[in-house]
Amino acid sequence: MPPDLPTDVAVAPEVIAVVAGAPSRRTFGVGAWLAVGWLVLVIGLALLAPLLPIPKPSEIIDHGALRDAKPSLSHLLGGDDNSYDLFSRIVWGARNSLAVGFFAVAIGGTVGGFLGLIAGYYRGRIETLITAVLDIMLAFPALVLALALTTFLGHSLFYVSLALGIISTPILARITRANTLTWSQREFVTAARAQGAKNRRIIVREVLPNVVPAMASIALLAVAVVIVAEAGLSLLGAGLKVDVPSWGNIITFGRSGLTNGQAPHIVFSGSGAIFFTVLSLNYLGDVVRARFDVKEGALT
Amino acid sequence: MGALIGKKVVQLAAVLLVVTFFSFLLIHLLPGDPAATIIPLGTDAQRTQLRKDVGLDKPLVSQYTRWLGKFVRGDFGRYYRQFGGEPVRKRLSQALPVSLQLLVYAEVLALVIAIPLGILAAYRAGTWVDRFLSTGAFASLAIPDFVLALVLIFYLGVKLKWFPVLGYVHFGQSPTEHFKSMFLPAFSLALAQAAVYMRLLRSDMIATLQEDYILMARSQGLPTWRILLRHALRPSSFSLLTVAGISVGTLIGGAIVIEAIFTLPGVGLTIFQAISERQYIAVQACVAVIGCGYVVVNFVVDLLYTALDPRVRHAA
Amino acid sequence: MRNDAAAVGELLDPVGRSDFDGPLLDVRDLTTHFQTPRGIVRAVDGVSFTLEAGRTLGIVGESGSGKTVLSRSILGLSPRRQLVDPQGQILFEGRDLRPMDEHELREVRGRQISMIFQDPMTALNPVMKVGRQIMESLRVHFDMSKADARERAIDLLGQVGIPSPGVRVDEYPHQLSGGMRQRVMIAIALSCEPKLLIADEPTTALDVTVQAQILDLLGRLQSERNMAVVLISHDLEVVGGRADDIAVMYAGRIVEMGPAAELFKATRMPYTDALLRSVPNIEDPPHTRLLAIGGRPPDLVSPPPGCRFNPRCPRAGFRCGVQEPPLAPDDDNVHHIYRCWYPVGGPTGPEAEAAEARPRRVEH
Repeated sequence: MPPDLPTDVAVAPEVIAVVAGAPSRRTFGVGAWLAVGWLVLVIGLALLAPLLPIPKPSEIIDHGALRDAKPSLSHLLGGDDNSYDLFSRIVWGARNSLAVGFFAVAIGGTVGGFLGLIAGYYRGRIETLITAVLDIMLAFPALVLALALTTFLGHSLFYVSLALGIISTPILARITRANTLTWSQREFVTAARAQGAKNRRIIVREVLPNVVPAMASIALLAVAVVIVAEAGLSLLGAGLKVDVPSWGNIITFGRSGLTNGQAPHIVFSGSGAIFFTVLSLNYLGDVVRARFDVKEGALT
Repeated sequence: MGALIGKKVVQLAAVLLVVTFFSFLLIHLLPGDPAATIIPLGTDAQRTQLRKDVGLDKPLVSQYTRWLGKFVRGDFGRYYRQFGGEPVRKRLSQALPVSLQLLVYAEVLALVIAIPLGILAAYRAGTWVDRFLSTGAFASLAIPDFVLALVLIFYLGVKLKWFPVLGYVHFGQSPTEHFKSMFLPAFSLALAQAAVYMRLLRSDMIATLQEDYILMARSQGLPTWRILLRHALRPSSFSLLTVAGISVGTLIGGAIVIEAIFTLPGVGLTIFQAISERQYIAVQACVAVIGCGYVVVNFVVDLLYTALDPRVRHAA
Repeated sequence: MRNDAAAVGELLDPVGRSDFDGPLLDVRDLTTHFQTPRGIVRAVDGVSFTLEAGRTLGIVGESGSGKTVLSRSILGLSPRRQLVDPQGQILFEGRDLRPMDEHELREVRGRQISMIFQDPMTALNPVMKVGRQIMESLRVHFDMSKADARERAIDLLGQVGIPSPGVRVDEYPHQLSGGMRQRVMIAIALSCEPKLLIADEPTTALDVTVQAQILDLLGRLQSERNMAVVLISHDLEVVGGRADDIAVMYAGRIVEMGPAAELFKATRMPYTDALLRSVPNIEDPPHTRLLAIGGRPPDLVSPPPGCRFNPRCPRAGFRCGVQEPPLAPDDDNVHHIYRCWYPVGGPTGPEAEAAEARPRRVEH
């Protein structure tokens, strides 16, 4: 019999065209650098906030003269309805919004990552149990679960982060489990096992490093989701305490200026900060995912 | 097939139990004496009444069974106010239809936007049309629904005055005004969803268009639109349907915020007001109702999925 | 090249066009090249053949020989965006299909020329009832009502030998066996009474026992309808007993073509010879070694210079790697054409070149 190759040349060009047609996020291009640039800027400003030559976030400027003021040279984003300097609010808000995003995903990543590794590596009953728990956590719409927790627990940075961490746990656990499953079946894991390595050592040394890219790409997206959720909670009065500057609180208290048409820039500043941050995080998440060829399926 | 549904029904019941139990537990997360927190300004008599209503003095499990028994009979507790307070059920029964309308409009709008664009992007994969649509979808995904809502309120509501910026008009009152009052909220919710659906449909459709049966249909001389709509759309829409089901959760979460922004008298606004008035019993009831509703929706989607794919239907 | 049966069939053919008396299909110097990131793939490179109404042409070749692309090119089903400078003519009843746009081609596809594919599992839509898949073509080409199309679909299912077609019409492909699915595909392809059927490996995905049934069914339907068939296969045996003429393709070109019997009897091209010898023969003594063709088919982006088969050819001489042989008729039969400098039956390349070189001295 002549050798019968599975694919004929007829299909090849079309498939290639499809791949070529996908947005070229496989390379670390201009878009990725812009995203990194924005995140570095925001994180840098947030970290350096106390050192920056800007008014304190709760410093009433000129006895209320800055109330709803339009952006100007001396006050880059103008003032808000409390006559606070809006740029300062955004920078200090970044501190809190990003902190919530980071802590929540750190919680979700640790707990979810642990559960996912255990479930994916050991399989069997423990996997069934963990999967069931995750399914239950996903049985609530995420924001409803978060608002229920903050409403009944409290509105401190810790509780808000905890609530949002809990909702990001199943997402991170699922992707970790899926990737652990595939990596655990690779030859080098079998080889390590054959050499008598302990399971814990195999998980930490052999499996985890390979699962990290997948977790990282989803974690970036999860930070974005959490930042948006924080703002959503604020709008419902279930987020950080009202006097704490956060992007969500800026939007919440800028709403009156928007609906009366007098000071839409307050809402737009907060929204812009969220939009560009989320866009950057999503973009980088995609870049990481494309780079490491992460299988999707866990995040929707 | 029957056994499959039976198994799913058992799962459904189990998840509903857990969801209600969690909702029930919320009240015990409150710091200190729940009765004191729920009615901070109330009299001792009111607190005693509350303890009796909720059964706070009983063991946890019997509290739960009591609460669940009332919940399934539609007794969701009541508002605690200085002078009386209406049952939560009354508010919810008025609010639920509004929320359901919003969800259905948003979902329909998202699909109406996503399906044609997804088909177009897949059919024109790799061209500038596809790149334009995909980039647009990617950007839409980064716009939170409430941000979109606020931007639309400002430009289309405040500036151009095309739409009312808040309030709800009953359909029976004036259908046009009803849709006008619902358009911005529904669209705000729909855009990001549409982006998700479009991307999903695009990639599934591209895969489907590589299939031999599409080539077969083309070789039979069928018109392109007929191939796309009748031959390619259905096999490409399974993950779309699944995700549409899963994303009802996102929509519900979004709808709560959107209702609060547009003051649409739905469950979201009810929750929002209950949170700001510290009506914990009402918040608890809303959480339980939303949780159960979501679980049931997912169950139905699961069944629909089975109905849509004959291979699954005949498997069991 | 025509026999009496075909001539009789033509007389009986109710839809045959009387005003055209050339060959049904006349492919002239067809080239189909694709642009790919690796370069231009010369999938079909200057192929010509003719096919008379009611007759069968077998096209044989390995995967990657271009036979599938050739079959799809006839109906304009190749991915258009990647096509580079398509050349040649595809004259169907004298009309050239090559310059036609999608709209014009649609009138031809299914109605005049149909195709059936290798794997009925993948070529039938898994989420459509088989009846509806047959009805689609009828409704598009004949503007039939739903009820009429359904009746016709049941009728067709019966014709292709599916038991209780009235029930099967409402079933999905996964409810049918592999052979039944292939019958359904044939029913779809023949629904609009095409004059030409292109069958691309119609039995490769089927069990051996079912293969013969399907081929017999195709043969029966072909003679009933006086339909011409292009039968494509990698398996000379499948094509052998069914085709009137056989064309052997290699690396995008026809390397040998002629009446089936002639081709088997007086094989000239070493590639055809190798294909024949790679097929087990019932009359061979047990444990006869089958001849596998060494090497792989050439890369169609940069085919080898000279004869494209020369790197794998046991008979190749020096000339074969330099100059491509023309497709020339055999001395004994003008209908038997092949592309070879040192054909089977004569001296091999090295022998011939040595003989030629002996009088003079070859300098290396």
